[in-house]
Amino acid sequence: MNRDQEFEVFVRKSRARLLRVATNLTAGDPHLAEDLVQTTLVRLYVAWPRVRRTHVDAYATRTLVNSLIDQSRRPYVRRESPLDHLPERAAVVTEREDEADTDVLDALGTLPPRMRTAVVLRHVEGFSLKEAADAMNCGVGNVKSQASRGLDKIRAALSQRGETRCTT
Amino acid sequence: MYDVNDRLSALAKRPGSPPSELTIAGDLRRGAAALRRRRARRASVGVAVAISTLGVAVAVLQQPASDNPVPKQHATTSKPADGRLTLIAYHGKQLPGFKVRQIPSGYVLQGSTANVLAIAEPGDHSSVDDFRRKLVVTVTEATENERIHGSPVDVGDHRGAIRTGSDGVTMLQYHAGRRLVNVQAWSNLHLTREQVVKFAEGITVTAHAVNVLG
Repeated sequence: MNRDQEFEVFVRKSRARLLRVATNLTAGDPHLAEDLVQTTLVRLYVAWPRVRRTHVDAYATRTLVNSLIDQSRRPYVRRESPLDHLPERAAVVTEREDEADTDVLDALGTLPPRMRTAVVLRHVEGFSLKEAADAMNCGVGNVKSQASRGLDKIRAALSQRGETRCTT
Repeated sequence: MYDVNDRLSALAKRPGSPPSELTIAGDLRRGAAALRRRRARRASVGVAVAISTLGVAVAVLQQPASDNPVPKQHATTSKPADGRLTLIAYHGKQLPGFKVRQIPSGYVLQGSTANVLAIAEPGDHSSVDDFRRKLVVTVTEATENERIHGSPVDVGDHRGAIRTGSDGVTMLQYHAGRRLVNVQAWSNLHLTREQVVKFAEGITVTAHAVNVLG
């Protein structure tokens, strides 16, 4: 198979997963998530001869995380500072399960990008500490502390919303 | 009842729809286009290096032995041995919205929009809004609650703050009236904080620039 054929097989197999991870990394922003996935896939395509010899899914996740961090460095993104409280959402009638997801995504959105990444990789995607550290290009201890502090902040954010049903 | 861990792991269980044929075709098209651009960029850099090398060789051969073999203009536009760039005076055409007095040696004004000025290596055809491997200036609307983070610095008459991220990207921000000016130097430039401040002191944001609303 040539580059295009191999890449197409990978996209068919992994795009939905990448988009889901990206959606969680962006705290539920579907447009930014799609941008990140497209950026990631472009980088993978360009580097495909090297990528195909590695664990492609792990490489893709690392590239996705790098894309998120790169994106967050842009000045107009960096100047956004976390709110000290979660904003009110418009009253939309949703099913209970969806509403719970939105609350958690809102809470994820209050975290800085690297902390959010650690939480998503560890507690959403179920990465091991080493896998998360590889994806984030940092040490295991860093992932551990970022994920732990992130969880604490999410708990605090949810309880601030009156999420009394949240047990820890 | 859900605890936080359950609710987080539930996010991974949401079903994702498989990509459409159109989406896959778009991914392939973007990837192939990026590869073409990269190959073209590498080819143009290769040609430029070859021409430059040939030019220097010819210049050396044509000069008497007692002359300085390295033309001064080549010396001022090359990177120092430590990999850092030097700032040189800029006398070229200015772009709408910004005036610059100095730019890193070997770099050019890549382009500008109403609120972004990008300075990049020659042959960089990426979007002006793509800030990787560039020195960029953006202006945003300063609000009363605007906070800037980093070590305090003076940029001319303005108070600002500068910080360098773990990946070496340096960000300088300073208030200029109702504007917040952001200067970001990507890590590959290896500019020192002092150089970033010095560069910022040479920037004039003109009336053509439009603040991005926060």
